[in-house]
Parts: sequence; C-alpha cells; structure tokens
Amino acid sequence: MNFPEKDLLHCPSKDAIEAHFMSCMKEADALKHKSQVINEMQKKDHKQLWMGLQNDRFDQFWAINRKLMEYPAEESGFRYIPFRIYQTTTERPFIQKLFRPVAADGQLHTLGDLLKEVCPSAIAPEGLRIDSPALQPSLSPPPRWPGPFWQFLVQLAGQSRQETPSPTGMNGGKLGQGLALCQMLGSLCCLFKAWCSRASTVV
Amino acid sequence: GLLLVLPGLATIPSTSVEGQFPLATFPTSAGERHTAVIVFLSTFTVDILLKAVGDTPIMKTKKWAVERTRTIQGLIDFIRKFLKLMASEQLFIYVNQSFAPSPDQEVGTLYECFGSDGKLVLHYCKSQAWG
Repeated sequence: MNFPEKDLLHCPSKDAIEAHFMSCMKEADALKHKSQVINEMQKKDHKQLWMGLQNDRFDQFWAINRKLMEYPAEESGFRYIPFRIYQTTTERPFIQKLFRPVAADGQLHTLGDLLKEVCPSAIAPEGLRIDSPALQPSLSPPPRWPGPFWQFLVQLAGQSRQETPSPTGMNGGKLGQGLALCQMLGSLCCLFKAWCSRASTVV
Repeated sequence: GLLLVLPGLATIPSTSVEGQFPLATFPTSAGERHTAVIVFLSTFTVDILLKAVGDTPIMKTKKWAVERTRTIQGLIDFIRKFLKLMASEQLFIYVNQSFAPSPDQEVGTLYECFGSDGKLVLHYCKSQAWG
C-alpha cells in the first residue's frame, strides 16, 4: 500500500529475488571467468545454487559454487575480483571497479590494497567497519572471495569509534581461508533470508 | 539536472554547454568547439547502445549519451516512458546478453566494468530473455 518505491526495490515475487540472485552470480562470473563457467552449467545447477542458499544447505550450494571458484593452474587468480563497496556516508549506490587479484610485481593483492585503490577514505581506522565477521580482523588476507558480490559487504561507517572493531582486531592475524569462506557464506544466507522474509511480507 | 538522457550528441543545446567554459579559453573554431563539447560530455556521460530483443519495440535512436550517475532503474524508467509501456508491462535490461544488472547500479560503473570500444551495449526486453 504505502510501499516506499523510491527507497526500496519492490520485489513482485520470490521469483524476482531468485532472478536477482542469479544475475549477481552471472555478473560475478563475467568478471571472474568471462562468464565461461556459469554458461557451461546446466539450468539444474543454477537451481541448486539457489535452493542451497534458500534452504541454508551449504553442501548443496558449495557443490556447484566450487566450480565458480576455480581458475586455471597457470594463473594466480580470477581475471577480476568481484566486489561491491556500500558506503553509509554517501547517497551514491556503491563502488564497483575492475580489480585484478595479482599486482604487477606478482604479489597477491590484499583487501587493504583494494581499499587503498578504490576507497582510500576507508583506510582510516575509524572509517572501517566490515559487515562480515570473518573479514573484520585483518586487511591482510588476499581478496579471493566466493561467488556473489554480497559476500563482501563492506560498510564504511565513519561515525563513532564504538562502531568499529577493537583496535587489536584491525591488526589481528590472518584467518583460515576456509573459515572465512564459511562465515561469509553464512552471513550471506542471513542477509538473503532477512531480505526474502521481508519481501514476502510486503508483497 | 543539466542533461538527462540525450539522443546522441546532435540535440545538445549548445548554449548550456558553452556556458561551462571560461571565456578566455573558449575554443573559437567550430571544429575545436565540437571537440571540446565531446570531451566535456564524456567526463560525465557514457555512450550506451540500446538493442531490442524479440518482439520488444525498437527505438529509432539507438545510441544515447547517458549521465554516469543515472541508475539502471532510471534508465529502465526512461525506456519504459520512451516506448510508452503500460504499467502492467515489465522491462528487463541485460549486459553481454547474459545478466541483468542491479537496478541501483550506476551506468558509469557498469560502463567501467563491461563497456568496450567506447560504449556499453545493453539489450532490453519485455520478458525475461536470459535467465
């Protein structure tokens, strides 16, 4: 009735959310593999990605997503890292740029490198808050993130210090990548579920 | 806004653009002026080529200069209006004949990631063309 059409996307149905999810997966693969991997999949594989996410079935999701995470052995990563940076301090939608996983000198890029290049204001300690428990402690792990963009949801708060992780957290040690991936996937599911349930109440 | 969606470069009101240059450096010959206008425009617009899919009506003007900060939803609204679609009809936009960009994405961002040969090619369709 009084849906705020100007502020929120109005999803007409659950199918619209599934379509949006698949579009994000495809856009990410366009950046990672020129769409080759996702295009070689069958319709039922795409369905399995969605069902795995919807039902919180990690194994089901990962059996397919694993293929989207692969790259040729002779290369050190994807063509480009799919990411989006959402800022709370600006009305602009989000930052998204082409970013290679490897620097010119052969070094793997880190999350810090990415932020330094595309959003330098985020490097100030009080400006950074990453909305993923797995990513908070360190800027050092190379940004090799799974699937869709939301899994790397960075929020640049820039408000009070209470909102930032503890100072030790900023300089903390590296995380096991497996753990990081699991947790990111977990937070993606939560995000998506919240979204789905909200959508079904307003439809 | 100064410019919304412009059909090509031909219809740009020259006064509003000329007004942006300081008098001292304003290009004098028509050729120089034209170049200056293009350079000036390209800093805040991108060229977009719109292609219809299936039985979706075509647009006579295919190439558009669209300001970088316009969102995909804004572009969809423009095409809907241009084609005089009814409220009940949907419109989908696709990149690389593959995925539908997020409605809150800016066309400038999309161009930087998926543009080639100085333009971004988008397909539009009244039904879902690519799942």
